[in-house]
Amino acid sequence: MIETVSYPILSIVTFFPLIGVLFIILLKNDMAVRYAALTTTVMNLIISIPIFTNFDKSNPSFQFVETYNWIPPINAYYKMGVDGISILFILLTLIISILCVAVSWSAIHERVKLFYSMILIMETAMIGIFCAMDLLLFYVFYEAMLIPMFLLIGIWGSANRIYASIKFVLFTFAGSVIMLIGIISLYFMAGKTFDVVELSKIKFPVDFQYWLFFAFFAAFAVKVPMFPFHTWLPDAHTEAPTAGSVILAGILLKIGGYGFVRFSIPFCPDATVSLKLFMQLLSLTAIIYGAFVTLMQTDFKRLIAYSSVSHMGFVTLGIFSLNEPAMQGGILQMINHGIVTGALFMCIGVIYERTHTRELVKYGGFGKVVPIFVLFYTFFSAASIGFPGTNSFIGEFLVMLGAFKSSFYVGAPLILGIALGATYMIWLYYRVVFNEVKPEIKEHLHDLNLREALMFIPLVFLVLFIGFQPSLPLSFMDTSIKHLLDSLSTSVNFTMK
Amino acid sequence: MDQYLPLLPEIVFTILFLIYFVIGLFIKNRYITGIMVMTISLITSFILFSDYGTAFNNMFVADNLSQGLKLVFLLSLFLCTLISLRYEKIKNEIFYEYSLLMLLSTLAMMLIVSSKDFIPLFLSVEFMSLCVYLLSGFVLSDLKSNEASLKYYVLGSFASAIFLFGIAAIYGVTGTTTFYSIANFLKNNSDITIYHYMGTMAIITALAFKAGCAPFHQWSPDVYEGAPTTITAFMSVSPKAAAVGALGRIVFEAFSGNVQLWLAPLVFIAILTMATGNILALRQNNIKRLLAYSSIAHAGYVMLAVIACSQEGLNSIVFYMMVYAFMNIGAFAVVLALPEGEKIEGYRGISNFNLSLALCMLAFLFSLSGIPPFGGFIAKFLVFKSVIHSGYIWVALVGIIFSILSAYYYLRIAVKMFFLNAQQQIQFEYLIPSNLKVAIALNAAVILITGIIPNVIM
Repeated sequence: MIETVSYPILSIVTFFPLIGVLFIILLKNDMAVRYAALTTTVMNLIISIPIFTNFDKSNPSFQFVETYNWIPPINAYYKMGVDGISILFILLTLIISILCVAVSWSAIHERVKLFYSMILIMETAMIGIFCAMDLLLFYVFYEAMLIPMFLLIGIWGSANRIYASIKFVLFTFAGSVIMLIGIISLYFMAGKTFDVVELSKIKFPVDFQYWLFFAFFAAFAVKVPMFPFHTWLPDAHTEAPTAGSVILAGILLKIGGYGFVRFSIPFCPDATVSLKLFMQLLSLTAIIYGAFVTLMQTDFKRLIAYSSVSHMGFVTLGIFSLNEPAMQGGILQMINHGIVTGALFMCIGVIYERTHTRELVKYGGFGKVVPIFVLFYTFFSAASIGFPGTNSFIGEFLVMLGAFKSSFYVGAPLILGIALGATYMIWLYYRVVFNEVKPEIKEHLHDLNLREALMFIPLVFLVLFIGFQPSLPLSFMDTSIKHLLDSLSTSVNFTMK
Repeated sequence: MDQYLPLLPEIVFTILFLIYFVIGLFIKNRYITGIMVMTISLITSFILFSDYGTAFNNMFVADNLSQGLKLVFLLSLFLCTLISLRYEKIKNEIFYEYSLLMLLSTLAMMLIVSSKDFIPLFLSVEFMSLCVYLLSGFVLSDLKSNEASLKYYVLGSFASAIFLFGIAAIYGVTGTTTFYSIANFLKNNSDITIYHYMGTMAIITALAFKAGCAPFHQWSPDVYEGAPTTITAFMSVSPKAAAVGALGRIVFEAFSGNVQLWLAPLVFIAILTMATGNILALRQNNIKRLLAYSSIAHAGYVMLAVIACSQEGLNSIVFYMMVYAFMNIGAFAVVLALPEGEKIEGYRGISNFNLSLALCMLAFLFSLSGIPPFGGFIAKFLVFKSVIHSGYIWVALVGIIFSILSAYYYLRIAVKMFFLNAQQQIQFEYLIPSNLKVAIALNAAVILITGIIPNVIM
């Protein structure tokens, strides 16, 4: 029998980084700030271990639930809990946060205190999002990310940072306020409750479901980002400092996919089923279009940013194929994308710190001068393509399996998507690693130091671990996904009758 | 004697005011004067919630709406006095008169939100307006301030005449001026004539003018820019709250049974106000003007709560104005604290010199645009919730789309503060006066607390 945890572990893990912030404010020395931030994030990972060891995988409902009154007049609660889907994202957030601290170690010299405070506040907000079981609480965490991210891009970003930061905030804010209207109407439809579990049980009128689906779509499609709403992403990714890009790619984009799974599908089952093809088409467009646009990029970071659009297409395709392998693949692919793209952004960060350019025409011949870097870079490129033995292979395979199960015509274009994915990554690899070293960057290039090599190791481990042992992450989400799909088909069948 | 108990706060306030009126004459030190005013406002706020009820044959009421808004007035009086303690534009010699007018207008506004009858309402609106006209032109040597005052006076008198006309029309058809009797009369006599429409339209027009709602907003940017900054801070909160509160009460208590009389004009005004405020604020480079337009936009949001026409709506007006008072006066305090606070360029690189000031301003700006975890979000949320509850989802949707625009102009200031460097090394030996430090820190703390645990003032 698995023991339960007797203390409010989710709240502790969520708000622990804020204690780190308070501590950092008191410090004077920049180096001390870095160590304090590192300690905070690592300790948070250690504190969180009981969540993973005591999690009951066979239980589809939320665990470690904490409920306190928050705003009694409007029946809003401070309610936290995790299920098999969110638990993986919490782990991802904890790991990515540590890496963000590590990757900025020597890249950030200015306003170090503010920078690490923002990273830690982001960590709190992101863990809060995945734990929140009350819609209003979710919304507060969801929007609370805007301010630190705005500052991260705007203060420490590169040349075009102001434009990128404002665009990021406006896009996200626009999506989320429309979701807010949806949340409020949901609240009244459901008889004044924000509780996610209660809301999932209620059967809403079909026309209201379309409405609601649209409202949530506005927020999450921007966040993922899905095809027509993706234009903020290349700017934000490209201009953000490395840690910002890693957070964006690693976690922020996942919140969109997570939102679809957690809110859109259970609250609007009928609308989801009828809009299935529409969502699949959007996802396919994102995959193919994203890949073509990626092919044309000449900026290293922008290239990886656009490839995210394509990769996230796999995620939404998996989610909206609405069958078990596809859903598993979609969620696993979110984790994979977080790890692999996060790692690629770290690779870019390492190189940018040395050469101060991201233009691919100035790159070349890295194989000769920085072999250790190339070793890691090769590995993560392979993982991004979906090479067998890496994590993305499993994810993409499951999505493809599910897509074909859903319809042949949905599955078939994926082949093109995967082929294009391999093309742009290999061509990028060619431009970076082969040929001669350009003279203007030659003297700046030197190989990874110990810290940089060490921060890649856990990611390498994760890539291989999920690649060879996918059953472990899948076992966490298995029950929750089954439960989700079961309730989806019951409620839709109910409407059919 | 019991029937006067609901008036207790007003009575106490008046007595304290009279004491101040006499003693203040002999006090030459502005700090002592200021602290007296702040004490008066604090003492009165403590007894605000002691007695609820009606007095003078249903003409005067003390209920949630009135007492909540009175707290807003008293707090904004407190905060505005706090930020003007060391404001140089208000000279030492005139500080006494300045505080006197602030006190008087606060008293007037307390009467406005308690009126349940058009006659006392009209009288107190006039009472308030006269004080505010004087306040806006308070710096005699400043031409802009004089112009603002005159403009406000001429247009304001016009609005008052329209108000009186509307009251007369309503009296003509219903034979009464008490809200309660009007509602009863309308319930029993269902035929609506042109005079009903004329009456309500005129009343809405007048109060929309006082609240600075579009299309009757033209006076406000000029007046806000021209008036001394502390008075702008005061005017952008209290009179607005009073007018919106009065309108909410009229709609809810007198005309709630006859939606057709006010719905279309109010929806029109609300949407136009949100649109005008947010769109015109986009390109302002003067912060006072920017905040003036933003306050127009905010009047539009609270108007949604009036449209909701429910107890929930009235409560959300109180919450909104309470939070708005703190965030807006906080923003004005920052304007005062900076050497070039009125120009948007004056904010360049502030975060390099004074990070905590910049972070506080950031909190005010994000709160004004309604982004959690600040109070402004909860306030906006409650307003939109009340209007959706009454079934006007599309109005809420239009409103929220305009509020996306607002994020842009607030962000412009944030961009200047955080992302750009100061053009020349400005001399930041310039010290922020301690009263402003206290005010800014206090407001920022309240904004954060109301955002995280809104219960404290709900």
